[in-house]
Amino acid sequence: MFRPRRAEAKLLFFALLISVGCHLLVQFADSDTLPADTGTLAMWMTGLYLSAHLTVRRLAPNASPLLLPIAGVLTGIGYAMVSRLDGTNDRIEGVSVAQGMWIVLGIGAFIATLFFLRDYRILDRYRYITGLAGITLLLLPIVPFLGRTVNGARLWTRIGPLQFQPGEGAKILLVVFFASFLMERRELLAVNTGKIGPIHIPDFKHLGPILAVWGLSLGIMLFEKDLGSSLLIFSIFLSMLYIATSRTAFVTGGLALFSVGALAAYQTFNHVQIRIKGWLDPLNPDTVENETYQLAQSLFAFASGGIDGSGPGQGSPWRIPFAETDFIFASIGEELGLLGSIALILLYLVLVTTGFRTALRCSDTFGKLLAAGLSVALAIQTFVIVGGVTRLIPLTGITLPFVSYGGSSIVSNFVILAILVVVSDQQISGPRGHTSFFRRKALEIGEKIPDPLPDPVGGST
Amino acid sequence: MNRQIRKTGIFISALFVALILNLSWLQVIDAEDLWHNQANETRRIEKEYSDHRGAILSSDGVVLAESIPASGTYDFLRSYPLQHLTAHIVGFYSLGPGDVGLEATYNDELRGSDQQLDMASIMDRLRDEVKGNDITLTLDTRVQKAAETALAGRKGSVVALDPLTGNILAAYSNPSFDPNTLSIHDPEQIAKNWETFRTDAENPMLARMFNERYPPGSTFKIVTAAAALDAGITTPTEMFPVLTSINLPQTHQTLSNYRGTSCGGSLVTSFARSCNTVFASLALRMGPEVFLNGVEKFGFNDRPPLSLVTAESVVPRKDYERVLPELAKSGIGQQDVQATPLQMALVAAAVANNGQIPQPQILKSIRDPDGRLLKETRPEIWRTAMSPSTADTLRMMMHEVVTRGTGRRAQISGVEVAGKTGTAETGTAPSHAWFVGFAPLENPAIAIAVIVENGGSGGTIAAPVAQQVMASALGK
Repeated sequence: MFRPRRAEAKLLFFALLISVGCHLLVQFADSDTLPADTGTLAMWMTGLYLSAHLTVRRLAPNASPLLLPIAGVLTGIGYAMVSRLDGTNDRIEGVSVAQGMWIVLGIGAFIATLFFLRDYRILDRYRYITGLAGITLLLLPIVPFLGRTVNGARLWTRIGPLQFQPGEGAKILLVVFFASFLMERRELLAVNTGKIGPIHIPDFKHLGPILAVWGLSLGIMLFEKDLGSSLLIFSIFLSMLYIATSRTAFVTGGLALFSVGALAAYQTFNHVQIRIKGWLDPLNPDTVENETYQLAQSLFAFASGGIDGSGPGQGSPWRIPFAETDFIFASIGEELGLLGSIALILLYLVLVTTGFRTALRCSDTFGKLLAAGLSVALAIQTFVIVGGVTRLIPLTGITLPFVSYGGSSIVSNFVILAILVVVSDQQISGPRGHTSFFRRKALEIGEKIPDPLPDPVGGST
Repeated sequence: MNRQIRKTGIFISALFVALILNLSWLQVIDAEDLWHNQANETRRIEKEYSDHRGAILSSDGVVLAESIPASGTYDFLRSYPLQHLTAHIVGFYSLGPGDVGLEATYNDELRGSDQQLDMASIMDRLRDEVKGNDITLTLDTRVQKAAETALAGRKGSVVALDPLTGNILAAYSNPSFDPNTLSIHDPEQIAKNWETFRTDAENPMLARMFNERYPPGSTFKIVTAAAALDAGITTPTEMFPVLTSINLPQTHQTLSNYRGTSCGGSLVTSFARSCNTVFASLALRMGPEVFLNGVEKFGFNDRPPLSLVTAESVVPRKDYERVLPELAKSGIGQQDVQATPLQMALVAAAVANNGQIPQPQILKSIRDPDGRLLKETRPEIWRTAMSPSTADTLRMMMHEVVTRGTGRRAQISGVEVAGKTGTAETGTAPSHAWFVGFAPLENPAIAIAVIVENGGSGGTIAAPVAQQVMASALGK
């Protein structure tokens, strides 16, 4: 009989080994003696992972065993990289202690979420409050006195001594809101009542929310200069819309709308033009020392890493400005090489596909949309920043989930993880009675699990 | 609804596959180009400075460049124990100006990135124990030291090579500089030192033997004589009139012998006494085409294939039919002729080696850190300058120069020396003193070119320098 919690414990053990090992290698690069804080670090990490694991064991015993260990190993590698970069210049002095604190807070948030969110369906009850809170959070940085511009983007908010990126929290609230909203409206949105030329469209009043989200994304792009969050929120919304209604027309239409907005932004705003030009030609001798310096340094870091990397602590990733946050993946590419960077991508892929499998197996629409939306959020955020620092797509500043330095990011991603754990647990112990994980797996291979609601008809797919 | 979730999942997976493909391209295929991008220089040098670079050794086993463990930003300090003595050949490995000399030519080999990818080296890479390969030069520090001593601080240079193999035994240029002042780790101090050298009017960083061109003066008569003998328009025994000057065609100009002396007789005697009138006449007799073809057979108008930066020596292919006086003057190594000391040493080597010019070599071998031979240079012929019989005649003529002619001060007791002196006019400044030659006459082991800038007479100034260097190389 497959025991998910036992598997999780074993995987977490490996996550711990990799995390502490990575940290040790970083320290060994500088000196030949065993660093004094190794024991403390190992104890802290074991304590944190163990308490998270025990909470899952008690509160979500049937949850997927993959989610927590993957987040654990990503967090561990991230912490090793952040502490490796600590002190390499004045700006990143003391980040490892802070990151350690954020991880403690993150695990705390994970445990608290599991504790308070025994049934994720309660989230559906506060639909408009979460939606409003999400939008408010998103727009907070624009508010005078509260908003702060860092590295060209206005995505920080300062309230009293607290400084945070509200966008990270807004992401979760908006996914919850979208899931709840779409669950209710999916049938209405899937039905055509109007027609513009040869194109069938749903009732215009149902299109309102789509336009609203589009406007919201544009607003973030224009007023906060935060291209990353803008792209992230719009793509989360579009994919959830597609999952809910099965209409590709929404996707194409949405992409068209976004392109129009992006094009307008490109023509109007200098910072967007700089980003695009930098993407097309980052090594241009005219810009390589200023506007495209960061991206060029990132590419050089990947190149210098090669296949096997320089080894943890042996490269010079501090040459990339913001190597500890947005560009942490370049640091990993340099020091762990192609092998390390691909391994990390595969970890994210497994994490995200586990999220999708959770959505597939979930028995109610809200849970499906919630799990899928959160998975998309993790996936797109990873894609946007990894693609950005590797020049696959234009660079937009955003954190790499679990790995980048930053409190808002760590805490919000652990909350996402907790929600996925809750959904993956209740899909089994939920309304359809108790079925073992193993049996569910067999079922899924053997037969398609029927949808709780039939696919709406009349879509343009 | 599950269908859409699956499709979204597949789409996301496709995005991740794109990330992986892009990463592979970036870190493997494009990595080499990115690594060598101009804007990446700091990172590149920084990484190279943390590698254990191989050493450069002389043929007599003296360390010319080595990396010694250092504390601070970089793991190794590049050190040049002989300081200024081999600076122009070994060059330097510097954070500021970059790499110069053999440090640049054999950068990959010294770094070790050129190793074969066998299992042992992969394991070394994984253990981060990469050490570069050691390279051994053909240079002999004893001969090099003799060249420095013989020049005695005068501005000029010496090139000596083995005429059979082309192996460079010595190549010294005065004044020189200490490359250790550029391989230090303090960028500001490097910039300061660099600026001092760069603005020095004496130009200490110039490798005169490879990169400075001078009028070769009478040493060029070897080339003119070889071209004329090969073309069959004269013989060693042909008698030339004894004159103080000749009239040049197309003008009322005349061309005189050195200090207006009267000079002539057989070709051999005229060569030994360095009669300008005879060799100017020979150039005119050959005409531009035969003359230029003969000259180019020696390698003029082409860069000697050495693994260091070298200038080409020139005799421009211009329409001499219209300016025959210039042809006459070029025939005695003035006017349009510009030659590097290396080129003139190769002229001597051609005579010593039956008319064939060896490819000049500075690299002897490359060995990996375990002492395995990775590469060994083999002698090659660069070009054929003249027929063996012409070479034989010239050997005799050059021997005559040292035994009875202008080059007597190059004599070494117990060794038959052959050579040719030159006193190249420079306009208003004092003449350049030249000597090119080889020894011993039978079984030559060294060919040499010496120049002392504005030194005066080749016979009195340059010949003794050549004598000392050859004596050192031959163990006398």
